[in-house]
Parts: sequence; C-alpha cells; structure tokens
Amino acid sequence: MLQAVQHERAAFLNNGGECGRLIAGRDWTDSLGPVEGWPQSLKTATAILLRSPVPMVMLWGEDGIMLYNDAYSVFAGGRHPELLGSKVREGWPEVADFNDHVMKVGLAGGTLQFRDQELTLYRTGKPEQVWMNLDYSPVAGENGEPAGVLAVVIETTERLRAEHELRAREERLRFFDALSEAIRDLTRPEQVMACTAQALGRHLDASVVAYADMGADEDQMNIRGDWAADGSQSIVGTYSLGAFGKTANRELRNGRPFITFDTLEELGPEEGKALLDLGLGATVCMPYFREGRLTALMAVHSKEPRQWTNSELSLIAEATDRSWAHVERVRAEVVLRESEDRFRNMADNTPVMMWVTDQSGNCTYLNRRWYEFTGQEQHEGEGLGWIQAVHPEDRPLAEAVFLGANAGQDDYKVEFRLRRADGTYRWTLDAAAARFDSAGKFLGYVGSVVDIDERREAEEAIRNSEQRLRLATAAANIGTWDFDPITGALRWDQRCKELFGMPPEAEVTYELFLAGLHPDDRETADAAVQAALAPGGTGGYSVTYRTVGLTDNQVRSVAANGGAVFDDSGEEPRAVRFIGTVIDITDRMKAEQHQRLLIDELSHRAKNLLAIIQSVAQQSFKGARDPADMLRSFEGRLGALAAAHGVLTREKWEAAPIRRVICDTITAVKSDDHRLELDGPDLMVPPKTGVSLAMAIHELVTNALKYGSFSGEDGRVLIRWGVEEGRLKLEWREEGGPPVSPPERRGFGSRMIERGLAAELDGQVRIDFRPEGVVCTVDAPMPEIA
Amino acid sequence: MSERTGLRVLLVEDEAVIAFALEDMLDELGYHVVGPAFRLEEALLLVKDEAFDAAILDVNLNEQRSYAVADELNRRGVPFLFATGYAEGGVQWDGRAVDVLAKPYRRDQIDAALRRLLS
Repeated sequence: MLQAVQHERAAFLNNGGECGRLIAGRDWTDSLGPVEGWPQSLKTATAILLRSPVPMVMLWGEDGIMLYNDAYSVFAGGRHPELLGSKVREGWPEVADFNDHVMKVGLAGGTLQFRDQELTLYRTGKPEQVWMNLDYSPVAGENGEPAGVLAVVIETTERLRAEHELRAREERLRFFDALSEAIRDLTRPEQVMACTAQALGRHLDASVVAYADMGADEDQMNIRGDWAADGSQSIVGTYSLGAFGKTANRELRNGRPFITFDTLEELGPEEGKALLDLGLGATVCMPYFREGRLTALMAVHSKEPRQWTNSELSLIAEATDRSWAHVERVRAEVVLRESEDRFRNMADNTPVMMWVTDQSGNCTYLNRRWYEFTGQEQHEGEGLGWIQAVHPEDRPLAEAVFLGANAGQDDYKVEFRLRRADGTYRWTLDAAAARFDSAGKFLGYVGSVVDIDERREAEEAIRNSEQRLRLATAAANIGTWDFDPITGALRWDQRCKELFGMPPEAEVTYELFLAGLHPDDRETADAAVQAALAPGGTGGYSVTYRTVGLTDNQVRSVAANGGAVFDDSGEEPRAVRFIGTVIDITDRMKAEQHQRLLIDELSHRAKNLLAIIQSVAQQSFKGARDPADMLRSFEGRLGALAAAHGVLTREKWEAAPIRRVICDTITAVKSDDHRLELDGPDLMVPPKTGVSLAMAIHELVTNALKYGSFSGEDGRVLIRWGVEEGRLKLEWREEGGPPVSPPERRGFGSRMIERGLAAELDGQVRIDFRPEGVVCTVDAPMPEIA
Repeated sequence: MSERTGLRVLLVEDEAVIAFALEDMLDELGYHVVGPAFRLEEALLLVKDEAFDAAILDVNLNEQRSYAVADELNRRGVPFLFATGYAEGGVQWDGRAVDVLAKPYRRDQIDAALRRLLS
C-alpha cells in the first residue's frame, strides 16, 4: 500500500533502475525534502539521468546533493549507495576542491569539460589512480536560474592505463638502452654498479640507491657504494643483514625482493628500526643469487613512503640482474685476461719454444722464443706457417705426426730439424699435450719445442767416450771396481771378477774380496784400503797383491790402483766413494822373475867364466918359460874358450854341435883346414861338455902345430867320431908328421885332456904319443842333453 | 906353511880347469888334495871312503847341488866352505852357517879361509 502510494507520488522514478528505487526509498527530509514535493525541474532532470546508460550524476542545490544513475554507481564503487544523496564535497572528500570549483561554475550558469582528468580516488579504501572525461552543465530550476549541475562521467582509466604502460615500456627500454650504453665499456664492478645506481636513482626519482655484496657468512652486507639524491645521505658501510628484521631476511634469503611501501606502517618501529634509522621510508631490495647463494643486493630507497608500481619493481629487478650479470662477465673477462697475460708472460719468458693450436689444428700462438729462434716475423708461424721453419726433409714427418695426433686427440712427440735465424738447422724435440675444456671438449694442443742438438751431440760424445774407455780398459785388460763405504755396496766389472776367479754373475762384498786374496797379502791389502778411506788422508790407493781364484784356485798377481772421494760438507771429511782399477800383472811378475833368474844366471856364468879364465891364466903362467910364449898359450886358450862360447851363443846355450865346436876351435888357431879331416855325424853335447871338448881340441891342435903333424908340410889330422852301442867314440889321429916322442913332462894340455875331459864326460880319454903320430881316443857314455 | 903340510882337503868342483888351478894352489899351500871330485856321486863316495881335515865344495855340480855332501861333512864334523859363482843368496843349504867363497877367488882368499876353517 505504502509502496504503491510512493510510486504514485514519484512516478518519475519508475523504471529508474536500482538508483531510482533507492531514491524513492530514501528519506530526503534533511536535504531535498520529500520526493513528491521536488520541483518539476528536479524531477524531470532526475528522470532523464536515471534512464540514461551513460554514467551521470546531478549535483543539486548549493550543497551539490548527489543524484546518480546505475551506470555511475558502478563508477562510485564501494561508496555506493551511501554516496547517493550525499553532498558532493563530502561524498568525494579527496576531490572536494575540484568539485567546489565545479559547483561554483555550474551554478553560475557555466559549463565545464575535462578530458582524461586524472584523479586519485579511494573508492575501495585504497588510493586509486583514475582518469575520466567529465562534462558539466547547469540544470535550470523552476525560476529558470541554474539550480544544479549535471555531470556526464566517462572513465577512461583503462585506455589511459594502456597508453601509460606503453609509454612506460618505451621509457623502460630507453632506460635500459641508456644503462647498457653507460656500462658497456666499464670494466670494474664498482663502476658498473655506481653507474647503475645513479641511472636507477635518477630514473625513479629515488632518495638513495645502494649496492652491496654479501660476505662469505651470508650475513655481512658490504655496501660498496651508492647514489644519493640531493638532501639524502649516503649509506655506504658494512651492515649485518640479520639486523634488518625477519621479513627482510626471509624474503631476501629466499630469492625474493624485499619491498616496503611504508616502512613504519608495515614493519612497525621495532622491526623497521634499521631501515628507519637510515631514513628509508620505503625500500625495494633486490637479491642476486649465484650458484644458489645470496651474493649481492641492489636496493632503491625512498625517504618517504612510496607506492612502488609494478613496472618500477620489475625495472629495478631487471636492472639489478643486468648490472650483476655485466659485473660477472667483466670479472670473468678480467680473470681470463689476467690468466692470458700470465700465460703469455710465462710463455714468452720461458727458455723453450712454446705454441698453442686450436681444435682445427691451426696454430694460434707461438711464444717469443720461437720467433727469436727461427727468425720468423711475429705471427708468421700461426696457422700452418710454423712448418716453413722445419727442415724440408722433416716436414712430411712433422706434418703427418701433427695431423695424425689431431685426428686422435693424442699427446705426441716428434723430432725434427728446425731452421735457426742464421739459416742453420738444429735438431729439436717437439712435445705436445692435448687440451680439453672442463666438459671434456677437445680444444687443440699446447706444445714445447726444445733444441736437442747439443744433447744429441753430448750423448754422442758420451757414447764415444764410453766406447773409448771400454776399448781401452778391454785392450789393457783393466778391471774396474766401485765401493760405497757408507752402504758397503761393492761393484766389480767382469774383468775384475775374472781376476778373482769368479763368474760374471757373482755377487761381491768386501769380505769376499778379502777372502779372495792370497793369505800372505790379505793384511797388506786391507790396510791399504783402510788407509785410503781414512779421513784426513790423501785417499790414494796403490797396492799389488796375489789373488787365489775362488772357483779356479789359480794364483794371479794383481796391481790395484784407485782413490777415495771425500764429502767435505761435514765436520770431518768422510769417504763416500772409493773407485779404481785392477790389472792382471801375473805375466809381468813372471817375466820379472824370469828376468831376475836370467840376470842371476848371467852373473853366475860370468863369474864362472872369470874363474875359468883365472884358472887358465894361473896354469898358463906357471913355470920358468918365456913370458911371450906363456902369453901366447894363454891367448890361444882364451881363443878356444871364446870359440866355444861363440858356438854356444849361436845355439842359445842349449847344446853344442860337436863338428862346429871342433871346427871353430881349430880355425881359431889355424886358418887352412885342407889337412884336417872331420868325419862324424851331427851330434850334440851339453854346453859344458862342448867347452871342455873345445879346450881339449885346442891343446891337441897347439901340440900338433908345435910338434905334431901340423908342424911339417905334409901332416894331416883325422878326427872321427860316432856313437857305438850308446857310447860316444871320438878319435884324434895325426898322420904324416915328424916322428913323435912322448913329452918329458905332462903339462896343462895333457891334464885338460886326460883328466879334465874324462871327468867331464865321465869316461876314458887317452893320449898315445905314437912315433907315427899322436892318437887321442875318447870313450864315454853319450852325454844326455838336459 | 909347514904346520899345514899333509892336511887333507877334499875338493869338489865340476869345472875341470878351476879344479886343476885350485888343486895347484892347495898343493903350493902345502895341503894334500883329495879329489878333485867332479861329480856329486864321486864326491859322495869320497866323503864316505876317505878321511880329510877340511873340504871346499862347489855349490853347483852340473845342475845339482852339493848339499848332500855338506850334510855328510857336517854329520862327520868336517869343516868346509862353499865356493860359488852365485850371489850370496845362491847358497841355500839349511845346515849351520858356513863360509861362502865367491868365485873367482884368489890364492890368499883360499889361504885365509882354510886357516879359519882349520884353526
């Protein structure tokens, strides 16, 4: 009933939507009065706006009582429906001034038009940026004067926001372009960060922008530098991240940005103290993670609370990432460059030639030494240019080895002749190792080239020298030994072992050495060794000893020579090595012994001969004869002795041929021998027998010359000898001489013949002084030759 | 000289010429020479069969040593001396110390040596 009445009273509100019903149901007593009593102009204007799909509001009277349609109620947001019927200056307190102006102009009959008017509204309790097109026009009252203002409100926020975002994106791009440009050539991390901080600070109109890196404990926060706007303080210094409260720590340690719009409001004075003490009313703190660890931060701060927009936040995030990434890259480049510099410095100053190739086999680097050695121009050896310095004959090998190794990615070594700057070639050893990156990818080679010409020559020289030494020791039959007095280790070569009658594979010790010596020489040899090793001595060692072969029991004479080497570094010199040689002097010793025997024998013979001569002289110069005659006899007998010695010397004193002895003895006193007849076989008698025979023959010839058959013209002497039944038979027979009578006195001759020769031959010797001629016969056992 | 007349001296010498000269010397000095024995066997026989007052032994008798004779003389207490052309070390008899007369020797050396032996 009441409803119907109302509807009756306010038929203009019919079909006015929700707002129409609200107007009808509201109590208007305190403002416009009951609806049915409204002036017609108000009713008409209200009816029109309620039915319009365009958001419209009418501000009626001096207070601007708000009447709006459903479309506007959407725009009013959370303030609807309380807003309906309120005074406009109170209903939109945040834009009261704006509306006051509108009311004044409109009630004065003017119109206002706004395009994309920006306003901040609190329609939902939170501040909100909105844009709208506003058209205000006066509404005439009953008297024709403006009684209200009608506003058509069309929100353009969506469109404008899109435009703003586009513009923001462009700005952002420009910002990053400028930032990239600014930091592109910066190499030091602090420069990059300082530049980024400044760009961010200016772009965002911030108070302070700071960058920090985290200590290894992940709590110490070192703010290395910052940018501060005019009127703001730098916050450079070292802080504890823990002091910035649990929210900051939780967010940052989880890799999320830590953001406050209003520090005091959001964190309270306690948790926010650290930030507030630094004067940071709002902050955006971006973490930078590397290898799962919080390593750095970039923070943009505002003195006052600030409503950071999403685009600002993402800009800060991206700038942080970009700048740190750049720092990382620069750092890596610095490390790489330092590493490269170090390598080059090392490579260029190393005394060997070095080179590097890439994975395709191209030489990318050769050190200074290479260019100095080969005389190639800088970079000339790169690529495959190095091969030009290799001896043409060695190039195929060098190339084949290099290419083959590349194919298999193997390490390799090759020797080739390399041309020196002066054009001569030297033998070199090229050794290369394959390079791989951490992922195992083949990168090429790094190699070195060493001049081994001298080494080759030296090796050759050593080989030659060793060969010479070997030949010399072998030729001289010199054995060598090497004793370590500290360890007692003894080394003998094969010849040395031979001298001790040991097999080549035998192990030797000092005790074995002593055991191998002749017992009589053991003490002397050991004493000589100890003397050589004694500190303070000369170290000299020269000794001869006899060895008794350990396996063959043979006695050998050995001359050992050597010397001890002393270590003078200690308090007392200490023998550390004892080396030397041994020579087999057995033959020499034998020869010396033999020589001594020969000399003794010679001396004996000489003395014996002198004794004989003395005896001959004694017997020749006896009696009262003519001295000249006695001298002649003596000389003749010496001549016979000399003849016998001459024969014996020719026969090496081994034996005397009878014929020769007789013949030479006779020839010594009588040159023509046609009256002498010798008849007998070639018989040999011992030397001493030969001498006695010569003496006897001499006496017979002398007698024959004086008194016998050689004293006249026609006499002859027949000498016959032979062996009959093992007995030596010799006959001296004179014929054709003057008649012989026995001598009055038997002298030296008869004695020498009958007693001397008989005794010598151990047989019978007779002289018959027959009238027809002297006959002398010998009958003795055939003497044996020793 | 007269006091030595008739003293018998054994002579052992393989070199006939030397033996004869020594025989003459001893004869002139008034000794009665036994021998000379030219060989070892001969000398050994004489030593056994004959009596004498002294002996002169040549060490070397045709490559044999006269030491067996020396041994026998020593055993019988007959004084003797060695005559040798070898150096002093050439006498290697291991009996008692005996005078060694080096060849060639002179008459006065023989005389003095025999005097010492027989004194």
